[in-house]
Amino acid sequence: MSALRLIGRKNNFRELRSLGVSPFTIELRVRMEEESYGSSERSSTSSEESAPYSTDNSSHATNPMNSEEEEEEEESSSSDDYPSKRRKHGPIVEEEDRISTLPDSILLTILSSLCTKDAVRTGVLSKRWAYLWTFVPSLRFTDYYLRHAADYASFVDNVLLLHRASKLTNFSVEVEYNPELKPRVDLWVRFATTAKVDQLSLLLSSCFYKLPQHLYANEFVSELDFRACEIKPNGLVRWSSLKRLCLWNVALPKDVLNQVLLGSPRLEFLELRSCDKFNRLDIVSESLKKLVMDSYCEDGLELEIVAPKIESLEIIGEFYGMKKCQIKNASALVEVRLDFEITMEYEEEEQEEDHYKNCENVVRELFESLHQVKKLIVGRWCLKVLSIMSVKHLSCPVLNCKCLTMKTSMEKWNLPGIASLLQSSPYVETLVIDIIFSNHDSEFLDRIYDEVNHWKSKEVYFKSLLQCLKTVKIFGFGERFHTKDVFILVVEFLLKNAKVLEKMVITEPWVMQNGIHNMQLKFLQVSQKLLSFPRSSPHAVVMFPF
Amino acid sequence: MSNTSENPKPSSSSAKMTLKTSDNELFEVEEAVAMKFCTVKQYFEDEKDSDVAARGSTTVIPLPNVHSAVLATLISYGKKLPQSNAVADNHEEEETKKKERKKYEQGLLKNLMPGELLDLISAANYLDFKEGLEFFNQALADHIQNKSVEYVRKFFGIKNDYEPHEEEKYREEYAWAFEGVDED
Repeated sequence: MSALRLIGRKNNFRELRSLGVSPFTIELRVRMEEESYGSSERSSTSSEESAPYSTDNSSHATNPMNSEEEEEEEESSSSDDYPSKRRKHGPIVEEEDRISTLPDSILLTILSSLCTKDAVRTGVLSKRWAYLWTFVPSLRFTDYYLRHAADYASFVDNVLLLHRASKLTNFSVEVEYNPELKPRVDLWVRFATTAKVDQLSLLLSSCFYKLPQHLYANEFVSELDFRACEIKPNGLVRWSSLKRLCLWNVALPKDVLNQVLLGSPRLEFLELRSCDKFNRLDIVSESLKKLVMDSYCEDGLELEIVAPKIESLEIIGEFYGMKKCQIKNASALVEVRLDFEITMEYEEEEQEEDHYKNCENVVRELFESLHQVKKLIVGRWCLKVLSIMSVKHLSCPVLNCKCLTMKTSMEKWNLPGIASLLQSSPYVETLVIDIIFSNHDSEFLDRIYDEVNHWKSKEVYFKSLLQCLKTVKIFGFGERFHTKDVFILVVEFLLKNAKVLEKMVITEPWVMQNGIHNMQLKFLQVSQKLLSFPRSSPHAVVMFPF
Repeated sequence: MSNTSENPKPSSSSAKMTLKTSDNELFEVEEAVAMKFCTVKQYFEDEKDSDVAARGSTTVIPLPNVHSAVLATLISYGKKLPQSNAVADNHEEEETKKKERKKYEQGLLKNLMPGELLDLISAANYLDFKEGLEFFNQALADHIQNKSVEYVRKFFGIKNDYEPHEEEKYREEYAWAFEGVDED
């Protein structure tokens, strides 16, 4: 109806234009419109004059179905006046039930954002809501009220029985699994796939669920999330629409991942979190755009990634005894996050030496294959390895990155790593330093290096650095005050040597918002000191936005 | 408040459009933002097709179902969204914009009354403003998440027209759904 009305108006505009109405006098045109409609309900064209405010707002324009053009000017131009009253000391109370007048489609969208448990409850709100929830195309059983897993399963069964939407966009189940539930979970999966579900999530725990074979050939699903599931296809995998795959704590023996990747020609996002049972992982995909590798607990992983289209890579978490991590043909890679750690158990010093040698190799090879990446995030542990390498006079490969983020605890032993990284990134334009808390031990480093003067001695090599650095952002300073010496050193250095620096922003120190007065004073003193340092860039601005 | 609109240049990103609300206020909006309202976009494209000769004149697009206060909020939300034509090669700016947007969103929702929220949802639906609709629908869902039935009824002014025994039957049938819920 409103569409028709719109067309009617359009005709009038055309008439007006054909009359050669000047485009610049809007007031005039509006007045002419009024005349052409013949109604004079609008007393003014400017917003200064406001009609008297009325509390009866029943035909306010919420429902396109019954708003009239020739309505009374009921609302003032003030935006604060609304029909709902708010008792001073009580809960918000609506005077009239406008939500129930919204069309079904909107209410269903709202219900889709709720977990199914909440959605089912809406059925008792009033008769209008009675079985609205049965049409919601999204089923989320992610509430963790599991007094008895069997009861929970019954709830799911009941909901599925009553559910009436023919197509599902989302089906998520989070449940503590035991093998007795298998036939029921199989049925749930069957239900979801019959409804051509787009996104299927099975987040289980405590036992492994073997995925039913029929799931491996599915042309509709575009996102799959599995936790504690067993993937063991008997034949080919055919997930022709699959775009996102997240596997958490899933066993991936031998060629299973290969089969999955082969069968998912449209896969763009892959996340492997604490998966295991593979020693060597070859990730080969023509379509993959983003990969997240998070933790691996078995010994000696060798990871090789061949994904010519990959744009974003994250290697995070803990990898026990990782031996190799290489990316072949990373020409499309734009951003990489290396926030991982290789852990190892050792008893003797010699074993420790070997471990760190291995780490150095891994990190160096990794950086070599990532040298053209534009945006790089280097985590605390990688920085530590770089520090060790620097002290042993092993250099870090040159990087072309433009935006570099370092996660550092700003402790003494971080310095060689920071220096080494800056030295290898001559083209960096934006530098972000994220100061984090770390109680990581630095015994190894303390043994082989104990002078902060190491930094000073290298300064002569730094003259040619930082030619492109324009912006520096520092987050998180102030939480741990004892690191301020190192922090001051770094800031002083940056200000002195960054010749085209435009701005340095030191943001949101926790101490300024929550700290005790004493601390705040000390922090201000530090800030003063920083501001007094000489800057080689005439335009540099140091900002403390807080 | 009515200001003169410039003649929209065909390829300029700063082209502006004028939208008129139900209470006669005129809003001058950048084309990029206004195009997020698909209803407006449709109207604009229809206009363009039908009157090529009259390119010079400016169109005022009427929105008889949208109040000015509501439109103001929707426009300012639209502005905060990442623009489709903006070149986003500077990641830092992207990050700051994201943070700003989060702050803005929080501020927006903090003082929002249920009636206002419903107005925004209705208007976003009428304007076919996908991102706005998603955002405000989610905000509404977040409001009633895990809340008791009584709370939701009060919050939205929903009248309970069930007979007590009917309601009792429903609650019994879905007992599971009623457990562990926030009482008001």
